[in-house]
Amino acid sequence: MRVEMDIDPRKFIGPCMLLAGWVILIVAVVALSSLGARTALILFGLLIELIGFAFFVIHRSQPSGERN
Amino acid sequence: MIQLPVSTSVLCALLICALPLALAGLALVYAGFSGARSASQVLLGSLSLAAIAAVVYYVVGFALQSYPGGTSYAMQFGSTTWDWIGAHKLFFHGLDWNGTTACFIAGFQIFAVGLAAIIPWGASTGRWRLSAAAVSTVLLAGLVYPVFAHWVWGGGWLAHLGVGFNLGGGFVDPGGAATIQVIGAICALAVLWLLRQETGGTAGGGLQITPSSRDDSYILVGCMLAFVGWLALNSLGAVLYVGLTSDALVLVVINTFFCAAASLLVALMFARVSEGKPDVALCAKGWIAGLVASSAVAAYVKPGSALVIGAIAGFLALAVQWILEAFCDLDDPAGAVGAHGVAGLWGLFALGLFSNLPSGQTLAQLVGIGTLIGLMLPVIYGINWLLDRKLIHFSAVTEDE
Repeated sequence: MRVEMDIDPRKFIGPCMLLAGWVILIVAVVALSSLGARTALILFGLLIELIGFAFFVIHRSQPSGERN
Repeated sequence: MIQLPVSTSVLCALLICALPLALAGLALVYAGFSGARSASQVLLGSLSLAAIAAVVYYVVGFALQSYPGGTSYAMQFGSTTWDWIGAHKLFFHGLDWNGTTACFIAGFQIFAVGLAAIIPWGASTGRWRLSAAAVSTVLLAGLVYPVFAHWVWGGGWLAHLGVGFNLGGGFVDPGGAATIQVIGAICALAVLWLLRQETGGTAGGGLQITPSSRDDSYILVGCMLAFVGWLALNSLGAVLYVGLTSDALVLVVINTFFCAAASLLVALMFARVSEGKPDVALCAKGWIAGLVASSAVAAYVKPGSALVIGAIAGFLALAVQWILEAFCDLDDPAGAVGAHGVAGLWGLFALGLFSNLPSGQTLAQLVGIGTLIGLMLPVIYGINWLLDRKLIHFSAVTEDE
């Protein structure tokens, strides 16, 4: 069965990244005790959040199927 | 470099010889899905891409990946070391070819990188230009794969989550569920998205795959060959990265089969419910999904757990694939995203849930999964987007027209 819904798949990248970044940030804050390890993982999570947010903003305003 | 005992060296050499069967099996499965019209093109492309991946990996890939205990670049955060890229010499220079762990890892990786490279090719079933696929494979085998493989298999930061970050035994992936399968599936997803855009938002564009154009015998023979190759893949990973001895390998073999078998049975039920009869395509996707999940867990769980993990892998792979095709217009007749990506991610997570590794293992696995989705997905999509827009168009449709 194929339901015709024109959802642009690129719009999934941003939210997926934001979710993945949150998982890493939560692990860093909740589970790590070493300051260095926590800082490193938080920076890594924030980097993912940043790129994910950029993806989210870029593709949110783009009409479906449009080639940029 | 660690010298392996003679018996282990012989075992590793034999397993490396069986590894190409995984490549051959997957290539046959994809050829079957593409149908008689383009089966030879898919097989030729698979061979070519595996060859390109091996050469590029030899030139630069192994240098960036390195091996546990090898040289690498690292950053220091307080007392924590962030090991991010290998620093071995190019062209395998400095490797001792007389039974060291490093030389067997090199032999293993030559085929593993080829396996990752043919997944996106198989998913595109003849719609991706071979020249574009070749360029994309060069970047995959020369940059993306080795960097992530270093993090997991080369003593990088994901592997050290246990030591440096106190998260269980660190991110664990002995058979390449993340490094080979999920990375390959992410490439497949990126390529399918880009092909969809090139054809103006309509799925497929070129070759439309229908059940009647499939070649089921190719698919089934491919599944059987892939199983033998997967036994070698999981066993070799367990010996080289977990340190299992030959006595313990029987558990890896049983778990690999149990995962695939349970996944296949779930796929049979899925087909019975959705199609009203057993369907070769769904069963093959289930079988592959079980094998992929086993790559993560085979060395660590009990046979009963392997059955549960395989069954859930089969269900998740088919269900997510159905959702993607129904609601997101993803045209992936071979089911590469579901069978390799979703099942691989589930296998990695299940390892944390079902294994007896130290506490914190599930969190380490979650960090690895987060890195795959949060970092590798946009990087791979970005690289392929740049290639498509600035260097070489991906779609084979315009060329044919």
